Amino acid sequence: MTAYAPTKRRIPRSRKPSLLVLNITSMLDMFVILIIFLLKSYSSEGLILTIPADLHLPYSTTRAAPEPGLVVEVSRDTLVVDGRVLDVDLKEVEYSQALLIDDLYSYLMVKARQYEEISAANPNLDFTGKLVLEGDQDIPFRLLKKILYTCGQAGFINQSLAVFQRE
Amino acid sequence: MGFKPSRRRKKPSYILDLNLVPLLSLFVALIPMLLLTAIFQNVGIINLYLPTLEEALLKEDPAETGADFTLGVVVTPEQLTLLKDDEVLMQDWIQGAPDLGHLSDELWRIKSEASGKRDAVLLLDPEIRYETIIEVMDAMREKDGRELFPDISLADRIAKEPL
Repeated sequence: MTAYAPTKRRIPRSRKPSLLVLNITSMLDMFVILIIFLLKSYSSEGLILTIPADLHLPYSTTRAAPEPGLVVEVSRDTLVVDGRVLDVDLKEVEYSQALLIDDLYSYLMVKARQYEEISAANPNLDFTGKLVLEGDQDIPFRLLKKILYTCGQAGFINQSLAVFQRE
Repeated sequence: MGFKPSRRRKKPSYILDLNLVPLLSLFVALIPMLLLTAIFQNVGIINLYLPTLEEALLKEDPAETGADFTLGVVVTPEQLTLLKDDEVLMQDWIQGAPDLGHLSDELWRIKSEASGKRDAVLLLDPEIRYETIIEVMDAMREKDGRELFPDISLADRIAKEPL
């Protein structure tokens, strides 16, 4: 049996630094998952309706997609038509006897006239009386009915209610 | 005493690694783009049904659809009632939330008898919250993906109604 002794010769260490490789495989894994998730929620048409942060729409099982139209936002204390805040005291409206909300009616008539002028100038754009109501989940029917009635009186008869879709 | 030195010739080691850097730069460009177009909360709409005058005049032949009646759902803070013309088909006391499953089952039964009927009237008490209105409308519109009565009109509850 031969015995081997460790070499006495000094093994020269390489002076060159080794190639530094960043391991990005795990990062790519994460990106793939992110991309799949984002592709799932991708929407090519974008947002037709913008929902203000303080407005809590109710949830529904509907699958109907929103269509463009005049947007009426009803939160707990403000009434916004097409981005303009109307000076209407909703609490007062809620408990009044009148079914018609005068300030809302006059502004909607202005809007309806605008739409009619546009459709007179351009036959491709028909005035269909399309209206989307974004209502807070807490508003009572007492108020909702007055708003829908007023919109109907002003010519916006094609009414729909905006809701969040349940998953 | 040491080990016997290996007699195998050392192969030069190559680092076998896919070059994922171009893929990474693609993803870095894609992710902000998708983030900008992503919609996390889908918004839908429920169309309200208002019969026009022409529709009311040119009503479909009732004998054909078997739908010669008015279907009404009455919601008050205390009770949920289903009416077929004047006949009370169902009446539930509301404890907390209305029993919408029962309502859907009853409507399902009516739908199977009159499959052509699409419209119903929702009669509401002034106190009812918007959220509850939408929930009842959901129960009236469909059950397990099957369409019930999607053309819903909203109306005020008639106060003198015997409930």
